[in-house]
Order: sequence, then structure tokens, then C-alpha cells
Amino acid sequence: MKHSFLDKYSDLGSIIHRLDPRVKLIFFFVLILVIVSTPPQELVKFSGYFLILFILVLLSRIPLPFVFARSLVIIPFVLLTAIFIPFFKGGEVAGSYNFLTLHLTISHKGILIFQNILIKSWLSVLSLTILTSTTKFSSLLKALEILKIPRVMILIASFFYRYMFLLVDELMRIKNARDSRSFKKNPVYQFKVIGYMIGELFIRTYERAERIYLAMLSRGFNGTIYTLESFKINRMDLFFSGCLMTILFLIRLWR
Amino acid sequence: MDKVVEIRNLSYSYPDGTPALSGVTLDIIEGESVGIIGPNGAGKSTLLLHLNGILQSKNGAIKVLGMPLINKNLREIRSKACLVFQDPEDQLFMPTVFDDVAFGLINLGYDEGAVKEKVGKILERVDLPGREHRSAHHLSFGEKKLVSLATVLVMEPRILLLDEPTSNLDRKERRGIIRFLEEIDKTKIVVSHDIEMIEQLCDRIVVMNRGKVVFTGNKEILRDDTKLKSFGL
Repeated sequence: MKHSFLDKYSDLGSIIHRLDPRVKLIFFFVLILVIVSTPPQELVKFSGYFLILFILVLLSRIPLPFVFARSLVIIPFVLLTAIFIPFFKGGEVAGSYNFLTLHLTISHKGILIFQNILIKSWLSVLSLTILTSTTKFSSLLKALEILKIPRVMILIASFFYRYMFLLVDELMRIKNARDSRSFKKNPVYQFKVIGYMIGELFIRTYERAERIYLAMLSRGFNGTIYTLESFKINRMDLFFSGCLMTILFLIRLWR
Repeated sequence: MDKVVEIRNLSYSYPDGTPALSGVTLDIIEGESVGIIGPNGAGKSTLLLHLNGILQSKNGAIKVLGMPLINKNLREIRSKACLVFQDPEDQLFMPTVFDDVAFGLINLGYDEGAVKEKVGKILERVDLPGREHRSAHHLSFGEKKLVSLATVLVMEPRILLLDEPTSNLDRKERRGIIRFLEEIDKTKIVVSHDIEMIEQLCDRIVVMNRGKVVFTGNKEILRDDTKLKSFGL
């Protein structure tokens, strides 16, 4: 079974792809910090950040629709959690509505906070989308490791990346096996079957984990995974990140 | 002739009480290729897991390369007797092919230059150059099998333990793997249901049934259908 890959387009060889993963990681981290710390009413600054991200996408030669579609994935979640804020915030009233016995008021302050959350979360996810589609997942992990992120977390992410698709395959196989023998449409019965499927998936995953551990032992695993580090920061990395950071801080600090 | 593996009266039951091996005694000589066949559940894979100390039994004794199989010797034994698992998805667990092949070498303590050189060489030998930075799930099944072999061959073992090296391969991939294995002149212990492959690859045949070795001898047994049937095959 075929899957689309998490780090689709990370094989392109653009100028952004070739930057050192550590430099990219730090740049995007700073970028997100700057975005999040910008006061909510400064829409011009947000446009500036967007412009930087837009130029990065153009330079990286990743198809625009892909980046934007992927960055929008977060919006429903944000909407779900933030949609009620305008109704609950006090302050100057922007409008009020009556539904039967329900009296709703929307405040200007509430709308501002709502818009703030929406813009910031979208720009942040857009940044992350660009980072993950210009960097291979394995390089990203290695960069995190060099930047002293706890090893356990990196190992979890690394095994997750390696076995996620296998897990999906396994689930599809169980699902196909169910569908080819399932005739009852009784929902209660269906729930029971789903319960069994989850159990089956858990056991299979657990047993695979044991086999993987044995395979690791067979090759001399002694509790720590060592990998070789193979990154080199060159002048291009410094120049590029220097320029971007300067522009970024100019926008942030400009009055 | 040097005995590289000596198994004496080995018995083993799984933790849930299922008996898997009972009284296995077997010697393996340096440089020979031994094919272990037998019906499912005969204990073939269990025996293989004992040979590099993944499973350890209190009943019976195993010596690998003259060293008794005890915790003190495990590191040494595992670097010399290397096991390739049946499912390459279990064998390949690192984010990239390079990391996977390098895993054993780094654990053995090779320095960076040596690791890179050896990994490059072995990937060329299995005819997969340039795949270093791919993730294992971007490879075809046949390629995964080859990389699994590479992860172990790169450690330059003296004994190669192979669990079903040809299972699930298409004809062409199967031919490729067999030809490749033929070229490796190390002691090989192969567990398989693929009788034709065993016939092509091995000098000596061991038949197991219900946890016991019921036959050891030369390849002629593979053509004797009545006899194989009497062993549950």
C-alpha cells in the first residue's frame, strides 16, 4: 500500500533545502517566537512576516497550493477552540443578538483576540510546513539531537516516523479482512468489532516492538543509539540566516 | 576441522510453557552451509535465536566459536554470529538506510571514517549504491531484504544466521538473493521452507520436527519425498 510521505518535496534541491538543518530549525523557532510575541493590532507586521514566508516558499520551489493547503489543516482546530472567545470577552460591545431566550453580545476586544489567535496560529503552522517540506525528517531529527533535545524524545519521534506507515498498513489489512467478511450492519455489533480491531492492532504492534528490540540486540545495542553527525555550516548558511533574521527583527522592532 | 557451533542437549520452553526445543544436539563446522528445514512450529527459528544468545536456556549448552554462550561473551558472540530476521521491517528500524547499516558498526566502536567507508562499500556490494539517505519505507521489499543483509554483512561476521531469506520475494528478487548468498564464503545457517533454495545453497541438511533434530545428512534427503513426509513435511 502506498502513502504520501510526511516530508514530501524534501528531496528538491533548492537553496532553502540546502541550508543546514540546524540553521533552519533555529531560524524558524525564532520566527515563531517573534510572530507570537507581536502585539495583536499590528496587522502590517503580520503582513511582513507573511511576505518573508511567501518569499521562502517561492525560493524553495515547493508548489504554492501544497504549502497553503497543508498549513490550513490547523484552522478547524483553532476555530473550534477560539470561536467562543468573542462572546465571552467584556469591553466595548460590537453587536448583540437575541436567539429566543438567549442574549449574545460580541465585544471588539473579543474579536481582536480571536483574530490574533487565528493569524498567529496560521503563520506558525505555515512556518513549520515550510520547515518540514524543505528538510528531510531524518536530518531534522539529527539537528534536534545536536541541539540537545533529550534523546528519548528523538528516539520516540524516529521510531514513530519509521513505523507509522507500517502501522497504517497493518490497520488497513485488518480493516480489509473485516470488510470482506462483514455482513451485519448492526451498529452495536460494529462497535464491538472495532474494539477487537484496536486490541488486535495493539498486540501486533507490541509483538513487532519485541522483534525490533531483538534485532537491535543482535547488532550490539546496549541502551544508547549512536549516529554519525554529518552537518557543516558554511558561509551561505550564515549569510542567509543573517539576512532573514535582520529583516525579521527590523519588522518586529519598527514602530 | 573447526567446530564453530556446538549445541549439546539443548531444551527450551517458551515462558508460557510451550515446549519448543527438546534435546537438540548439533555441531556446525567452519565454512559449511547448513540448511535447517521442518514443518511450522518445529523449533527452527527458536534454535536460530539461541545461536546469538537472544534466547538463553538453562537446559543444555551452546558454544559459539569456542566460547560458551553466557552473558560475559554475548557481545563478542553477537559481533561474530549475526542474525538476519525474516521480516525486514523488524531489521530496519533507523530513519535512513545509512543509519541502519551503520548501527552495528558504531556499536562495535568503529570510528566515523571507517563506518562511512564500510557502509558505502557494502551498499555497492548489494548493488544498492546511492540509497544511503533513503528511509526504509521508501524501498521495495526486495531492496529491504538486501539492506537487511547488508546491515549484518557490514559487521563482517564469521557465522551468518538467516531466517527465511527468500520469503515473500518475487522470482527475480529471489534469484538475486540466492546468487548473492552463494558468493558469501562464511559459515551459513539457513532456516527456510524454500527447499529449492536450500538445495542450491547448502551442503548439509538438518531436519527438525517437534523440537527435535530428526535427521542430519546430505542433500539427497530433499529428493526423498516419502522420507520428508514422515518428518511432517
